[in-house]
Amino acid sequence: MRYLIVGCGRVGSALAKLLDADGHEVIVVDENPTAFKRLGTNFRGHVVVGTGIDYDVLKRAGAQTADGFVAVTDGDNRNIMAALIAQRMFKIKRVVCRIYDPPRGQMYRELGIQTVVPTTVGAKLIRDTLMQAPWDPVHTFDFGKVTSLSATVDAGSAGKSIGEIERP
Amino acid sequence: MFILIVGGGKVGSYLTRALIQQNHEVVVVEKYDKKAKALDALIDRQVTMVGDGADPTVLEAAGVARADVVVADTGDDEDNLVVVLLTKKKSKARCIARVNNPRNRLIFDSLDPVDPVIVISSTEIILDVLNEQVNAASYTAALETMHLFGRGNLSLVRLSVPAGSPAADKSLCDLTMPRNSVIVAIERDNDDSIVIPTGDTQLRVGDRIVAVVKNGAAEKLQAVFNAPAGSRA
Repeated sequence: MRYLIVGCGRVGSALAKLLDADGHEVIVVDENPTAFKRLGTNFRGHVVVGTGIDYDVLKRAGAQTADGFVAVTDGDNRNIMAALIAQRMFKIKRVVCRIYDPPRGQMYRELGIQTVVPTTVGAKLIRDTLMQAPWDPVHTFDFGKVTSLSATVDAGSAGKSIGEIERP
Repeated sequence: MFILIVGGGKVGSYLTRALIQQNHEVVVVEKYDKKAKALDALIDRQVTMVGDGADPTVLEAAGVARADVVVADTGDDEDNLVVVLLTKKKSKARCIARVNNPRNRLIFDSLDPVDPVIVISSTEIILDVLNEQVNAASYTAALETMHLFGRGNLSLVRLSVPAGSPAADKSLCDLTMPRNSVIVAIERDNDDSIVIPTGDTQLRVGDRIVAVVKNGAAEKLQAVFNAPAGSRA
């Protein structure tokens, strides 16, 4: 598959390396050419210098034939704009956008853009770690709304029926 | 009218002064305290609110819900886009957006087909004027996208008939039109009019053709009007 990533910061570069290691074709777009250093020397994908909110730059990066598109620049507004261009002008099927502001993340979801809000997901993870919750989050899905947890059966709960155990 | 302006730079400032003189109620949301103070001083009254207009709580506090018109005129297209998105969500106000990169017009056009965003691009305005001056003497049919609709598959485009065009002085029915394209109007300067054409309508050099095209047939349509390379001086 062919993936286009706009923004080569910590998340963008890490994602690019993951997808590249999985054998996908990856193209990374960033305004700042020095940002591509984060990709390291083993990265086999392509890089394009330019802003991700310009039709011509995205076209040059091959947006017309991309299977997926990710907007992870450091600006929420730029991310939603890039995602809308990808969805509406290039008709890319899978478009994911990072938004730090939770209310706006929710609103953009209603526009049909898959939105990841690391603020909410991160805060919950930190709370659970801080409170030494007796369960570990195993997997977070549906963009942070649903989490699966695992806990070990201890002496207090052994022998009880599930209904009797106190749950979060 | 109550007009809410996001962006208190030069455009916003002179716009506000003009609107206040016309007795409109105006609130300006400006990110930087310094610029807001300068604007209040220019108008000689408090019209500004310091905050990020792309933040829903700020926009609500500025009164977006009761605004008649919201103008997004910051220097950043992405911020203007978010102001429009929020306004469409929270209010019935008409939206006017300033767009710096003319290519971005299409994405603003796609936001609300029922009550379209009015998009103003000074780059595009200057470009249009230049094209009118320059293209009269050029041989390529200048192509301009006016509007996107039908989820972006269809576009309304405008093309000029350049000097030396093989289409000049021909009737429309004698042109070989590409698939997925139809000419809906012809703008003609000399007559200062818009002609709704029939097959008998004759094209002239300098005419501007307005056509609906589907799925990228625009470039093929453009080729019908371009002057052949050999004829160019």
